Amino acid sequence: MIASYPRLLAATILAFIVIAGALIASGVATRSYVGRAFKSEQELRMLRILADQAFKYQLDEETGLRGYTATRDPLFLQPYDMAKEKIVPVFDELIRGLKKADLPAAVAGANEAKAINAIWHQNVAEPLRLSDHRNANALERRGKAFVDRFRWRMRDFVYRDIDDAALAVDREAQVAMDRINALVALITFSTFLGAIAFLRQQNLAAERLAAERNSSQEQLRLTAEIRSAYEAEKRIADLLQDAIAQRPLPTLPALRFSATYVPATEEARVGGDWYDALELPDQRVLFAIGDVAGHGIESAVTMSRARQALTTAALLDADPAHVLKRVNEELIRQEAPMVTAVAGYADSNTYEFIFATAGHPPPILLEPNRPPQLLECGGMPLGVHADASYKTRRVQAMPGAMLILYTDGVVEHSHNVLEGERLLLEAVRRAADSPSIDPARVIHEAIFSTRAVGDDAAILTIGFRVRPSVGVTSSGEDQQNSFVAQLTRSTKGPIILPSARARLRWFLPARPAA
Amino acid sequence: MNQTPVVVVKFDGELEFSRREELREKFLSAANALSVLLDFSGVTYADSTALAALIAFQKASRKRAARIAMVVVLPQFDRLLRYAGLHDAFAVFPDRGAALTYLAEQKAQ
Repeated sequence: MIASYPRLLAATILAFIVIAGALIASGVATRSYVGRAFKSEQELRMLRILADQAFKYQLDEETGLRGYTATRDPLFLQPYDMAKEKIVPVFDELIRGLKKADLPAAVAGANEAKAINAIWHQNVAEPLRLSDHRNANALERRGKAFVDRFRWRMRDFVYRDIDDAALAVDREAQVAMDRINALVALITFSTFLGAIAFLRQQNLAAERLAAERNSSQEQLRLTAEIRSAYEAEKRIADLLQDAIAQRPLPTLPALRFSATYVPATEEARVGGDWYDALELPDQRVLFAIGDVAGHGIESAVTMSRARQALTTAALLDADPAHVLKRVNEELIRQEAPMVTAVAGYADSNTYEFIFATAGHPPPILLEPNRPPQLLECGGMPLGVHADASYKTRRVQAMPGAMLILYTDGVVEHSHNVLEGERLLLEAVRRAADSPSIDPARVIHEAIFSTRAVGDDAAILTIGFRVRPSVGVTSSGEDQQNSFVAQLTRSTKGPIILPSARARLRWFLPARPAA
Repeated sequence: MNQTPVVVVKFDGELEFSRREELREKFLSAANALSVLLDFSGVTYADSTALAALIAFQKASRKRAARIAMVVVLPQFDRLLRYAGLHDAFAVFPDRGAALTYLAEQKAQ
């Protein structure tokens, strides 16, 4: 017994050493397994993000260019130019990463996609950018073929290779996990509780890896393409909408403007609201507000067209009903989605608002020391019936009077438009009592400080300044010179301004003969 | 006498973008009818998508010379129709009886 004791001790110590050695070895092994899997998982995720970026930039370029060729509005070139600048470095980084990850098919696919993009720039995009290109349609068709080939290369080579590699990593991680589990079982047997705790930790790491892999991989695979397409569209629509809607308001001696525009918070409900206030070359002051049905790039394009058509028509015709009729005809011709709008002129010599409405909520008139008043509305929305006609309304106001235009988001937040109107009138009353020089903001805040903005909400106010009573009152001569007064009195047909026509020539030939 | 059957399509609640499929199917069910009663008596709200669908239906009906009568009861929906200029484009009635009478008279002509 005594003699065998040292041997037993030695055996025990040896067992300890062996088990400790096995533990350390397995620990190191699992750690390196898990670590490697994590590393390649991360690498592949990075590559996927880069591929997504390249894909998105191509989409941005294409959508921006599509918008530009449709409208010739240089605003659409903004996303195009931005993406064009970034796509090459992204491709270079992607290709470097793919080489490092040893994915030859993806490298070839990415190289080809990059080359297709470059050829597309040279042969399609840049020629299309040059205005009045005769072969625009043929070029666009060619462009579409390029874009399809680009997408095909990206999907079938780059994405597929990355996904296959990710699957391989998954399998490797699965093997690692099986081994870890086997070790855990083995060593549990050997009653080393501390070892169990240690290995348990390793196991948790592997489980975390597996969970992350399962949840993200499938999702990524299914939604990447749809998502990036949608995001590009929304990103561009938002960008355009911001730029379009927030055109600066003119500063004029006799008129005061204010405006707010808050886009919808809900992603899918990005609308096409806009407002305009501009002094025309003949000193008339045009104001307009509008709302394109639907959302996304199509409504941004329609918005741009509707505004151009409206400004052009306003240059040619002083009667708001005729202006809306012309815009309607133009939108019908372009098969655009439905648009609601109010357009008119403010005459600071006669203190008149002259306007017409097309399917749009009614303007509000606010005069000093009087309750605000909802004006008449009506008229079919634009772009519906080719033969729709509109009615010009003249409102005789007084110095200090203000016209408030808004889009449906301002009164439809509760889905009860009568309640919405009541709240709006209350907000206008508050603006009347406020010393603020920004009534649109006061109105917006009175309504939306306690309510969520569900749809786009735009407000435009046009006010006649109160002129100092001493000295500079408007003379009779001024009144006679009022352009709007002259035109609306003296003419029934359109007034053609040759310079305006020359400047807007690209738009006019397409207009159907009135 | 030519007995054209009246196709009745009834709508309820808030007509919104999220219900566009349902709206499409409902309008489709009356796409070939020559005499249509659109019952909006339970409708409180319609967004621009729904109004666009209604306008598209009206446009198509006008092409095939179909008669449409609309029943509108709730003032908040009536107001929306006035915004959209649809009061001038449709025959609007406060109840079904009046709408059916209108459709019958139209047929008799």
